[in-house]
Amino acid sequence: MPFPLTPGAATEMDPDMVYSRIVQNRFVLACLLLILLYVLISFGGKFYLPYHPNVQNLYEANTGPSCNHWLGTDYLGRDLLARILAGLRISLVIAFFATLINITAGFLVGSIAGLSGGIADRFLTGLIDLFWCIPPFLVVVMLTVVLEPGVKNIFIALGMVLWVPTARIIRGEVYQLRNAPFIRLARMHGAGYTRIVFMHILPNCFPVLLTTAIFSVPDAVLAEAFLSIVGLGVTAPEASLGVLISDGLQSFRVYPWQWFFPVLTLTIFVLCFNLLGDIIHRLFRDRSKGILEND
Amino acid sequence: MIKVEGLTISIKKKAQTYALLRDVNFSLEQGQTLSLVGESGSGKSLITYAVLGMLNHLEGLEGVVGLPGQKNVLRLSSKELRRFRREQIGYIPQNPRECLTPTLKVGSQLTEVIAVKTDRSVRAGRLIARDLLQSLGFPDPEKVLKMYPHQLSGGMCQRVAIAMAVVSRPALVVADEPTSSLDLLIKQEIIKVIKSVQTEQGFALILVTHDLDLAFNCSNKIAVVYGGRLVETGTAHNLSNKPRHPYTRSLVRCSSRTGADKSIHYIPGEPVSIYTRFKGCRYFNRCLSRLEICETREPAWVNLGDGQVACWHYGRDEST
Repeated sequence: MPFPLTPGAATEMDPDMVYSRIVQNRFVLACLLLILLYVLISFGGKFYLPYHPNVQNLYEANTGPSCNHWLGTDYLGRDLLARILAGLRISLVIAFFATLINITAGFLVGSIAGLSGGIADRFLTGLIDLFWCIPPFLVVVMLTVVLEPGVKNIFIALGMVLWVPTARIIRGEVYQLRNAPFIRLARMHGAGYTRIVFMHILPNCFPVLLTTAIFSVPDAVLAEAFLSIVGLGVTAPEASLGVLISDGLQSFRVYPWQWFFPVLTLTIFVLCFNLLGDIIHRLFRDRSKGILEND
Repeated sequence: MIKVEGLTISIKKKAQTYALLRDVNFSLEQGQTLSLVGESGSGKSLITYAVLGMLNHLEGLEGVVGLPGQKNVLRLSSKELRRFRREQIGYIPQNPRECLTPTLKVGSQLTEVIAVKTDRSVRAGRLIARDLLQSLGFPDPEKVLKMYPHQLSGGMCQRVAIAMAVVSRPALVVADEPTSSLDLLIKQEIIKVIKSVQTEQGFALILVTHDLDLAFNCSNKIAVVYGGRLVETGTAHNLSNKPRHPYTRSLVRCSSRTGADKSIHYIPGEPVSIYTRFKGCRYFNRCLSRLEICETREPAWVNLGDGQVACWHYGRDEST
């Protein structure tokens, strides 16, 4: 046994893994808790709220926040809290499925383009470029017109638009990884194509994919809100955050809370995801962070 | 015995053919070490890539690379190549930290290589990995196996890479500047580790290096590469004491700073580009003892008994 390394010298290193660092991060924890809270109260709201979000009570129209209606009522006397929670539920569902479609399509197209190279790569990259040129909201608007407005169609439309940047990011990442030194070494050790792709290239895309997914949730929620505001989103009497905001806008000067509470909900939600994505992105980037000023 | 004969690589660009490597010949016994030395861009790494079969897809690839049980590596199909790489060769990379997959623990990737190369289960591979790391000087291998590459130092990563290279008891190990990214102390340790595994397993070692002193100290044979051609091969002893080719002479003069001569030497001029076409010797422009014939005719590869050289100063009678 020649030339042992001195025990304890270089082997004693920071034992924290990226993943444990992510979970231990206080901001991440706070964001995750808030998101969990959002999910719980919006999906649980059905069971404990005394008011149905769509039931009108014109005697109590446009009341302010009170003990009976914590956040007040809207112009048809519907409880605003119940409607916000219902809207949040729909927004969450839309965000989840839009992100799922976005990530799946983006990852598939991007990784196939990056891995195959040659003609397939040029074709798919051209496709991405083509989709990139079309204004995304135009596509969404056209799709919702063709597909008729509705929750299902919104996330199909959003997923179809949002995958374009994802595919480009993943393609770049895969393309870069394909020529990485550790891939070359794996090849020199006689590793086959499948092994290289599934054990060495795709897992290394995961950080980028995770960050993209997290950032795409607020994108989807905001896009849905925008669509609902311009009248192409969720149809009445169903509520989504966008619908509530657009309703609130109409009587913004007289009953500002009808606009303020949905906007507050949306803002905190989007902020949570953006912070989460940002921190996770930074933690992955700083994996082997040094102690230099700009490392 | 490893044999490389007439290895030539040429690429076509705009109907012109450029030779990246021309007529590379050398041979190497089991258990011996050959150092490839030369300037950056001279083609040292390219020779090793060809030997490893990394260039088999190129059209302009000629010559023979023979290993025990392999007639010609350059003619293997990609499936045979994978098998050949798993069983017969090991590769020690230049920048070990970048050569380990960052998202896998050292244990998983080392075990993976072992399981595939020795055709064993992952569990058995893990035991082998532990023993191997211990024999390579890790006092606490279990701990290292649980770490990610970025948590190890360069020298430790290099030891892991060495473990991956030698696990299948290969016939040939290629080390592409294994020490260039390490500091002086660790450099010596790594060379010692490689040499001690070599004595134990008896593989042939091709060492690519810039470092002439290292080449003289730890190899049996040395091949000097210039502009994609071998200009001289010979034993380490011969090359350091009586270099024949003017280029080797200048290299030795540059590297040795012993005795009264403390000044720093260098070779004037610039390395040749592969896009330059030559009628004569590639070293002509920088050669201090050039002849008229050097400009117009390429010197042949002359065998001088204890070494080979490509220079018009030697063996003129035989070739003219």
